Amino acid sequence: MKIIYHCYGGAHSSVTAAAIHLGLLPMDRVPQHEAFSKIPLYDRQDANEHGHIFFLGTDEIGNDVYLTARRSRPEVLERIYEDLSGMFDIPREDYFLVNVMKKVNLTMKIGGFLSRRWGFIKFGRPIVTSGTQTAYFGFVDLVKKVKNIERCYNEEKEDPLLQRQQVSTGRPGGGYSYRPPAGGKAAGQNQVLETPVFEFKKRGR
Amino acid sequence: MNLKNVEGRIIPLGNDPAGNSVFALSVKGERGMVHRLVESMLAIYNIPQEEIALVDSEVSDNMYLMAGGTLCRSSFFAPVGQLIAMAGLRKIYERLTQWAADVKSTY
Repeated sequence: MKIIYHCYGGAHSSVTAAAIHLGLLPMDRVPQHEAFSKIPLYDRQDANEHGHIFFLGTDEIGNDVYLTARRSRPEVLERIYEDLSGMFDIPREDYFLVNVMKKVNLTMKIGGFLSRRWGFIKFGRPIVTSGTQTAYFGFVDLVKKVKNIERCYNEEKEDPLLQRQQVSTGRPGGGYSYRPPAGGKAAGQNQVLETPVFEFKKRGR
Repeated sequence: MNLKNVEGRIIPLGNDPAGNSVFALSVKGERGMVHRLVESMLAIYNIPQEEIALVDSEVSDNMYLMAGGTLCRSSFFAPVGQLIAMAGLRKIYERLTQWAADVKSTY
């Protein structure tokens, strides 16, 4: 499975989330300023690299972790990824796009804008790092959720009884979750035998 | 022209005589980003870059097309917008056909 964290500029929030995911940053405490500057790609990506999917590492389960910038158009990234994977027969379960922007605060936005857009790295970087520290546990929560989903997916993959693929039971209303009515007659059978087309003909219209 | 919210959606249009599948993709100003995104994705899945050729439309929209496109967003003005956009398309049609012929000869 490929996990792709994405945000506006691919320089702060997605990098932080991906780093937490890979264990480059701790989950139990907020790291110091220096720890952020040591992460590869933190406050590095420029506008002419937006859209490029960067590989950051492989996590403990064996899933590849990537990050990318998609500016203010997450839907473009999602649609292109979805359509291209359809074209090349890549299963939907093979990738997981994670929008990190929801966890970004105003300080991060201002600092990121100063540093990346206007090039005032000296002023912008400390501001964005402070913002990242404030929002840090939001990123940790997000990563925990992603890891839970990842774990569930892996368990499903390993256990054939828990596979996501639904197997048809042969007739409508015949699934395991279905409980027959008290009369003993299975619901849904009559509807299948007599379609609305037949009903339309019977009325003689 | 009537499609809405299709930025990033890869729309299949058909096959050309050479057997290549032809698609349309609206990038809405994010030209470079989309190119890099597609190239990265191909690289991640080890798909040869030759499988897809992204061709930028070299013919820019004229005033009629832009005005028509804007009007088409409103359901009330859509018929008028379509007429104006058609007029705009007629104006650039020759250049469009020339560009399409160049693309065809390249791939």
